[in-house]
Parts: sequence; structure tokens; C-alpha cells
Amino acid sequence: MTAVRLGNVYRLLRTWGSCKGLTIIYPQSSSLFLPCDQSHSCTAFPRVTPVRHGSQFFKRLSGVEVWSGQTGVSNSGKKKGRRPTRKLENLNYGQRPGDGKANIGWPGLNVPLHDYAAKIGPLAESHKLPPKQRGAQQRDTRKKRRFKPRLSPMERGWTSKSFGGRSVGPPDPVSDYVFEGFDTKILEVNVVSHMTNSLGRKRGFRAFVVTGNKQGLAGYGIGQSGTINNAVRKAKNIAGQHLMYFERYKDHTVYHNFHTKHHKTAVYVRRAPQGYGLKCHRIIQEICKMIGIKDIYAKIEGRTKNKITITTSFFRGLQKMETYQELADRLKLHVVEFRKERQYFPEVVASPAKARQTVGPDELLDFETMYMDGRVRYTRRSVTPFYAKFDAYHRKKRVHFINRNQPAAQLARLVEEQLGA
Amino acid sequence: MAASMKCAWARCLSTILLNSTKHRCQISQPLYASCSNITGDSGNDEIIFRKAEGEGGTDQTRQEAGPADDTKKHRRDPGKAFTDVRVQKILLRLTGLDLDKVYEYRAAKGAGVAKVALMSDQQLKKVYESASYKALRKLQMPPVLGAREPIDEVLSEDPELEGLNTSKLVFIDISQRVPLKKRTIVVREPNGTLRKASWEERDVTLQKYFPQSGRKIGLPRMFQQDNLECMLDDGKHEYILNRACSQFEIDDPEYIRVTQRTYEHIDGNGKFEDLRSTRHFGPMIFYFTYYKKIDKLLVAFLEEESLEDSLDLVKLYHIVHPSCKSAEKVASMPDATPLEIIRAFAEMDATQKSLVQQAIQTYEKECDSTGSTQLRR
Repeated sequence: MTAVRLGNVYRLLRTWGSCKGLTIIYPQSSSLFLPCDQSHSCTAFPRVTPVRHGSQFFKRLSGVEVWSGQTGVSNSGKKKGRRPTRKLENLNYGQRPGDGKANIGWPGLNVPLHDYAAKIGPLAESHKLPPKQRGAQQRDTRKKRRFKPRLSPMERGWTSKSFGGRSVGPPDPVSDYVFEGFDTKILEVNVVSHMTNSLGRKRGFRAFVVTGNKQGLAGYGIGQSGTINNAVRKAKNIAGQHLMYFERYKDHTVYHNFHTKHHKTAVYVRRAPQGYGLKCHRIIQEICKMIGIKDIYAKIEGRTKNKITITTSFFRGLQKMETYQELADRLKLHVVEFRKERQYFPEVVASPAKARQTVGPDELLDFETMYMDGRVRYTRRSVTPFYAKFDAYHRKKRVHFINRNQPAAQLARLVEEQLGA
Repeated sequence: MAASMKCAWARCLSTILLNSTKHRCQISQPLYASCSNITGDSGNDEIIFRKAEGEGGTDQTRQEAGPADDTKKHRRDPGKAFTDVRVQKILLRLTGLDLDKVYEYRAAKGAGVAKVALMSDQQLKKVYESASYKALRKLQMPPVLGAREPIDEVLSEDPELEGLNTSKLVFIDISQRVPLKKRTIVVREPNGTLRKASWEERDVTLQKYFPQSGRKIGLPRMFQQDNLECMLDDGKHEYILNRACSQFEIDDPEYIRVTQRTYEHIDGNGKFEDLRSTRHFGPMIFYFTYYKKIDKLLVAFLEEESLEDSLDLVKLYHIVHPSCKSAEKVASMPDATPLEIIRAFAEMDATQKSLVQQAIQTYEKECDSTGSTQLRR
């Protein structure tokens, strides 16, 4: 009997098979040497089964070698400071070789080897993986991945992604003072960086926040740190240390119109009646909410993107603002309000200790413009719409004039009908 | 300081207007001429407030303002008594001028920010003066008149026109510059009769052609009896009276019904002060005086310890009913003190004698404790 060195044969066949795109099925035997009996058919020889061409493409390289295409950086790239686009993932995490839909136990794979003498059959319950893990590709949860918690609409800022407009709670307590009733809003979070000699470019975050108790106290602050949270916290506490108090007219608006300019940002502010709302830039809206101003009109002119100058400008204007009593004391005149709701009855809202008897002929006492530094509000003259020049429009107007009160009148008739019935 | 100035001006103005019969105030003309019932009669110097002359009635049909006769209450014309200058003076004095109430806060559409002005003392005085004059205009009293006589005048009988129309035709004169009261409105009946339009037809037609704001054609639901009671129980007296003024003519029986019911409700609940310093206070006082129902009102004044108001009320009673017993007695004692006059009324003419006398006694006790029975001004 010729002892056939099967090992050599296997090696030859493997090389030949791989060239031809064939799979070699090896017999289930640990020994590579088998006696070859001429009288029997060569059942010991490996069976060669043709399979689809090209499957070797996916198995030629190991998993790690394939990943190196994504995780690796070329030498020239390293010089330039390029970083890999992805991190290596173990795609087989959570899987066991041998696991499959059929749920068969393979000794050495998903079943201990010493059980191999037993029949190859269904997996015993004890060896079954928990249902969750069976077969499914599990994410490697050990991977570091930031999962941002989903924010509710009330928690969101101006947009879902931006930090601007988000509330971050009151400043941290300082010794025994607790910032009761305070809330802080982020106005801006910027990425900043500077060059260091050892690490090169060092990145950080700058947060700009405004804090207030909605009862007239408010302040703004800037903080910088390596992480956003720290930067915001620093800014919040700085803001808490720089609080200012502002008087509000009837707790809802400013006392008078004013104008301020800081650097290149000018802010024009007009007082507003109750129910008007905060019709201004969102930055000024947040600041007003923190102070407790509910109705205001503000227009920013000049550099509108620099949030810090906008804020500084607005706060400056508020600081210079005069209450009615202060105005009366300064000018020694009565401050009188005329309201439509009171049929324009003269209501004295502030009086000095001793008022003047007369007013000089050249004194400028127009309340609307006295704080505006000679600036006058520009109102655009009304523009006739383009369709007003067409005859068809005027013809239609004449036709519709006949029914001018009919919607209201029809409704009134309907109501009468219903009430009558 | 400003508050006291305000009060001082109001008082000053009232005394100027009311203490002088010869004082021809500029305000008298616009105040009373605008009333559609009252037309021009500029002759008389003494009577500033002019007589009423309506289209519906002539002087002959109008009865004298004499003692109230319960059976024909709705037909009598209290207008003559109301327009008496002495009556007007007392009513105006009783109404008072509370500027804060006259210029109450009321919701206004399109009210923006308040207009702010900086004023010296002199400027402020001027502004208060004009506000007070304006307030007096607001306190112009809607006259109390008797119900209008129904119009019943046939212009022509044309039986040959019968059957021409199935409905009546209403004709109105729409020429310019004709006062509403004098506009000719006639009706052609289906049977051919041409007659003058009745008061109801006139009101509807005039509202159609010359609409007045705040007025509805037909009776608003609010003035129906049940709804009116609900409103009165809610305490909306001033609102009801204001709306009645804008909806009806002053001599409309509906207006008289609504206002009189409101006054009675106020009397029942004792809520006289609700109308103080409004234009309806005077007419209300006059109604009670004319129909001899001032007892509760007098008691209310005495409880407030305002002797001058109580005296004014009794004096008013004597003017409106000069032939009453207490009037004759008071005329016989020229040096009577205020309390004596009130006591005389209580003894002789009060319908709820005990109530009034009780109130007088309480007032005397209070005054004894404070040590003053003099008139406070």
C-alpha cells in the first residue's frame, strides 16, 4: 500500500482550486495520512465541487486587511496630518461560528468539543444564545459613539441642532446666595482655537449666555473651555456675577424709545403696548425674556451678526433709560399720560417735588424723540400695488363695493334666525 | 398735589356753572341743542335749558307738570318740570363731577402706547380745565319726557287705488339738511289710504335711510322683559341706560319703560351710587321725585351723612310739587335749618314715614357725636 502524502496533495489541490475558483471539501479527519486501498474507490480523497466564480474575491484577504483600507493612512498623508476616516469595527461581534437559522450544534464551534461524539443535532436549550443575539448583527456597544438625547420642542433652541436659545438653568450658587427664579439662555456657542508650541492647534469652545430672573435683574457673560458644557457653565457663572437691574414700565415694556451704538452695531428700541410682543432679533428676544420685558420693538442696524456687540448695545441703552420719576425730577415738570382708553384724560404719572410754573419757548419736550439724539424714525410712504394701475382692478372694486358689509350682515342674519328659532 | 388740583378744578367749575343763573356758558348751547327733541328758542335769558317741542304733540295735548296721577302716568309729560332751570341746577349738583369716574378706563380698539407730555403747573391747570369742560359735556342729561302721542293723521282717502298693491308703501323725504324729526314719512295702505307714518314706522324707516351708529332696527333682545331682568340682576344699570339712549328716542314708550324699570331696580337694591357722576343720575333722581318715590333715596343720602344732598332732594321735591304740604310749611318758615326742612318733608309727604324718620334720627346721633350739623361744602 502506498502511503500517500495527502498533505502535499492537499497543498497542490488548494493552489489549483484557488486558481480555478473551486472549493475543496476536506474530509472530517485529523490525520493527513490515509492508507490508500487500490481496491476501494478513493473516498478519502477531497471532493472537488464547482462553485460560483468570484467568491474567493471576498475571502482572499482577512477582515483586518480589508479594514486597513479605511482605517489606514498613507505615509504622505501622515506627514500632512491626515486622520483615518473610520475606526475598525468588529462586524462579527455577538456572533458565534456555527450559529444559524437551523439552530444546529457544531462541536468545536457553538458547542464544546468533547460533545462531538454525540450526534450533530439541534442545539440544546442550555447552549442556545439568548434570542436577541441569535444571528443578528449586533453593534459593538463598546464602541465610543455619542448618542445625543432627543430634545423636546420646549427644550430645543432656535433650531434642533443649534445651542442658541437653549435654556441651561440658573447660575451655580455662590456661598449662601441661591439664584432663585433665575434662568440662563445660551446666545451663542462658537468653536475657537489657538496655536500651542507642543500640541499645535488647540481647539476649544466659547459660550455667550444671558441670565436673568424675569423681574428686572439680568446679566451676560462669556466663557471658554475645552468642552461645550464647561464653557457654558463658566459663562453662566460669570453672567451671574455681573447682574444689572432695569426698571420696566408697568412690568412689560421700556419707559421710552432709545437708540444706542456700540462699535458698529446700532440698536433702535421703541416701547410697545401690552400684547404687542417681542418684535425684535432673537438675541434681543432672549435678553428681554430674561429681564421680564414682554412688549418691545427693536431694530438692529450696522453689524447684525456680532451677537456680543448687539447685546452690549442693548444693555447700554437700558442702563441709560430714565423712569418717569427720574425724568420729572430732572426737568422739574409733570409727566402726564394721555390714553385712548381713558378718553385722553390727563393722567399725571410722575411729579417732581416742586414743579416749574412755565416752560421756555425753545425747549424741546417731545417725548417720542427726546432720547433719540436728533434721529427721527423713517416711515416708508405707502406703495400702491402694481395691480392698481389696471382698469380691471378698479372695475372689480366697484362690483364688490355693493357687497361690502355682506359677510358680517349675513352672519348677523343667521344669528337672528337661530335665536328666533 | 396733582390729585388735589384735579378736585379743586372740578369743584371750581361746578360752582361757576351752577351758582349763576345769568351765566351764559358756551357749553349750554352745544350741550342741549343737539338733543333731537329740543329745538331752538334763544329768546329767554333766564331759562338756559330750552323747552321740548316734538312733532308728535302740540302744547295743548301736553298736560301741566302737576302732581303725579297714577292712572295716567304714561301719558303725562314731565318734560316741562325737567327743563326748569332750578331743577337742572339741583340735578347737576347732585350728579357731581368725579373726573376719575367720568374718565374711567374702558377698552379701546387700536389703542397703542399712551401719549406722554411734559407739563408745567400752568399747562397742567389748563389741561384739567378742558378735561373738566369735556366731562360736563359727557354729563349732559338725556331729558325725561312723557311718552309721545301716537300719530294718527290721514292725508287722503283714495279707494280707487285699492288692490293696486298687496303691501303698504312707505315714502320718505331724503332731501338734504332736514332734521330727522321733521322729515316727512307717509304710508300708502293697500286699501288706498295715504296717511302719515306711525312712530314705529318712522323709526324703522329713518334708521334704514339715515342710520345712526349703535342703533338696531327693531327691538334688541336685550330690552325684552326677561333679558332685561337678567341684565339688571347682573348689575349692568349704566350699560342698559346708555344703550337705551342710543337705541331709542327719548319720548319712545320703550325708552321710558326700560329706564323706569332700571330706576325701580336700583331703588329696590339701593344701588344709587352706581350712577353717581354719570349722565343718568339726574334723570333717575327726577323720576323718583316726579313720581313721589324719594324715600329710599333720601335715606341713602342721610346714611352717607351728606346733608346737602338730602336738602337738595327735598328742595327738588318742593319745586316739582309746589302744592304739597311740606312745601307750604317750609315756605312759611324762612329761617328753617336743613334738618328742619327734611323733617317737615318726612312728617308730611314721605310715603315711608318711619323709614325716613329713623334715618333722620340716626343722622342726628352721628352728627351729635362729631359735633356738627352745619352744611359741609
